[in-house]
Amino acid sequence: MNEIELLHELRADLPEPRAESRAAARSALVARIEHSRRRPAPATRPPWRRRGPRLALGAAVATVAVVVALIVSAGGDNPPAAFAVEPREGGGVTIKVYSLEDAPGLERALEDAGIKAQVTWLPAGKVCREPHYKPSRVHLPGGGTFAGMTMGGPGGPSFAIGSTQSWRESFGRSRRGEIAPDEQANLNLDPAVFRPGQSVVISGTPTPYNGDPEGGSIASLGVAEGPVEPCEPVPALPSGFGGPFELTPGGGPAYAPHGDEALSPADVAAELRRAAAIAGASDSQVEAPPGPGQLLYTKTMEVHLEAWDPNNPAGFKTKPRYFTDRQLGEGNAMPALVPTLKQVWMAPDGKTRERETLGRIKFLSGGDQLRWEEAGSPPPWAFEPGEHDVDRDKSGRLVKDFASTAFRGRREVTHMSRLAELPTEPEALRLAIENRRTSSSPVEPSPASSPRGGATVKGLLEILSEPLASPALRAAAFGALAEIPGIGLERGVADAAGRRGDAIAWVRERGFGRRWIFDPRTSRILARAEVIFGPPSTTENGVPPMTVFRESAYLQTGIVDAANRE
Amino acid sequence: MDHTTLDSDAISASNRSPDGFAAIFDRHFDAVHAYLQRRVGPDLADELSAQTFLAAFDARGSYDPAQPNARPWLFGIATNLLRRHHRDEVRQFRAYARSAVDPVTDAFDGIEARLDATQMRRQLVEALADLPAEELDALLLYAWAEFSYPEIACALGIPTGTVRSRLSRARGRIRAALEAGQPLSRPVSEEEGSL
Repeated sequence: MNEIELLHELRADLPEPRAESRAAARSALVARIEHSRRRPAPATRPPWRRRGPRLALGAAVATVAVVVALIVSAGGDNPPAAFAVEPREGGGVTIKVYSLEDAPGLERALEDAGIKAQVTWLPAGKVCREPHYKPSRVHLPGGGTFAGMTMGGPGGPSFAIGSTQSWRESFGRSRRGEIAPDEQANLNLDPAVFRPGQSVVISGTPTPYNGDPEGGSIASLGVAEGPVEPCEPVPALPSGFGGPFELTPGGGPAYAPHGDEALSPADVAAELRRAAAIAGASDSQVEAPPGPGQLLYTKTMEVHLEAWDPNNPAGFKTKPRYFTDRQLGEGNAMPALVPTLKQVWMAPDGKTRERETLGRIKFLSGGDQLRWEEAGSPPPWAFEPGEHDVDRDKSGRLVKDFASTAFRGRREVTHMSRLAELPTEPEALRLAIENRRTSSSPVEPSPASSPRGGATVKGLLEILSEPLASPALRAAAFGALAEIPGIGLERGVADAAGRRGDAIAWVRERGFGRRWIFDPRTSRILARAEVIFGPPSTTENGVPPMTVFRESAYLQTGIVDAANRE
Repeated sequence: MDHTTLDSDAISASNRSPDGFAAIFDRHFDAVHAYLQRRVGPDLADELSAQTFLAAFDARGSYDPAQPNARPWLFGIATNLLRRHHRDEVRQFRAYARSAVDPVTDAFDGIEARLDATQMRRQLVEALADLPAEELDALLLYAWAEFSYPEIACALGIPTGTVRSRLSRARGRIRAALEAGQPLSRPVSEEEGSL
């Protein structure tokens, strides 16, 4: 095989662009086309002038030329730096962080731009011990105040620093499509609104992105009043968002199956085959994606492990009674399970209405529960009436209602519609999930403890959790699971709603793992949970083994008419 | 989709009536996206393919009407945009070579799909990471976009002879790396050492 054939092979099996990506790109183009109708057509120049400078034909076209130059000719082979400081049109600078290195250099650059800052880049899985400064807030150029935030994603954060006026101009231009979205910074700050003694505190760690273990970053930003202590690194709570929980461990088994030792591999396979037979004979949970005038309704019980610190001076909130998710195992933080009943009505176009009802908070220790009740049972921040639009229902429970046109909703509907295209034969389904061609020679399933096998198990369980998965698809998913060696099965596990079932479970890094509970009588997935199975995370976070860290229990799903949503 | 009009006519017409440019999008978006996705992964591909068409629309006045097919021109714009992400791409290649998991398909749509990574593939990818950016562009336009030499020349704005020599150098390096069973030796800079 020569190198070109090898390259061809490497290119194979590429998924189609997502329909929503195409739609988003097309509407951006159509918006640009609409916008262009209000200005003169671009000058047509003979081809031999193609690479030459553009002629400005009035102000509007000149602007376009600048934008095109930015997009098309930026970059090149300049040596990569940890960050770049770029002047902004209209004054100020944009600071883009490319890699989490050279913190002192970034501090100097921010200071040169008018903002005093403490920057700390930490190894993955660490955060600064809080509190190390007195939290404060400043006004943002776009209105509102900025007290702190956490941002994550590919690359590093970026900051635009300049006058409020220059921010307004650039915002207007980006709204009109004259500036590419990636020219916009994550955070805009106006040095003029900082009082003397106020500064910005930034800390961040690398996170996996797009297959690169350090391809992204998560950064936490705050505003300090007065002196800032140095950052003392402590282990972060594996929170999924930025925490090490999602990290693929380097070396060792990727997924250590967790199950009853009394069950032999043959027993587990037999159970899963039985589940496949039951799934195949069951009714559909939901017949089809919602049609016009219909909504997809889901009701889940979400449980998160949070901590409450009565003396909490940390975080960006100065009130002493907030729950925080950063402080398990530190100081006076008391761990508690916070349940929320979540109802979502989702239209085919992605418009959603959500209602969240706060359930009864249960501390892991009775003494902690008492202390919290004596303090007046303060709600978690997400339900703090002063911070959010919160009502009380008839039973006095705190309720939040909100509508969104979230991209997420649209994406989920599309995703669910696509389930119908998946094969309903176990091996073909597994190969599809593994993105292998069925025509190739038979491939034995990888063990559940391997990266590929573990990912396949997870993919199959995700399909089983989808409300729109057909009986045949669900049977195929259980059938495929039955063929994968080394799956751990736990018997008689309760979900957040108190229902019992069997669970497929595995442990990943640092004692953290996942558990998917299904009802052996109906083969329905009851709940998925992230669980702290054992050390070292139990000791790091001060919780007993088998503590649920995060769980979604699926209570109800159906298609309802938009008219009678309630 | 209307395939009866030449791209060059559609683009010329769009100078007077910009709506026609959408046809260029409909004809070529999937190809541009697929190419970008293979090179930098689905998330960045979403972003760069959208930018490619915005930049193309803005630059439509400079389109060479003698080129009936706009694909090389569009891929040229996409290649320019890719240059800013060369470092990400190299990281991705290295991540692939290290992890034996294809980061592109692996990251796609929540379904964790895996590809076999034979030793040879790993060496190939390692070698791709070591290619100079201009040779990589030429090679991948040839192997993944299946462009002819003149089309590559048009996309990259270089003479056909240069395409020939870049491709031959790139293929030579890859063959050498595969035969040696080793990634190309190249001084490791401090920045790459930290990857």
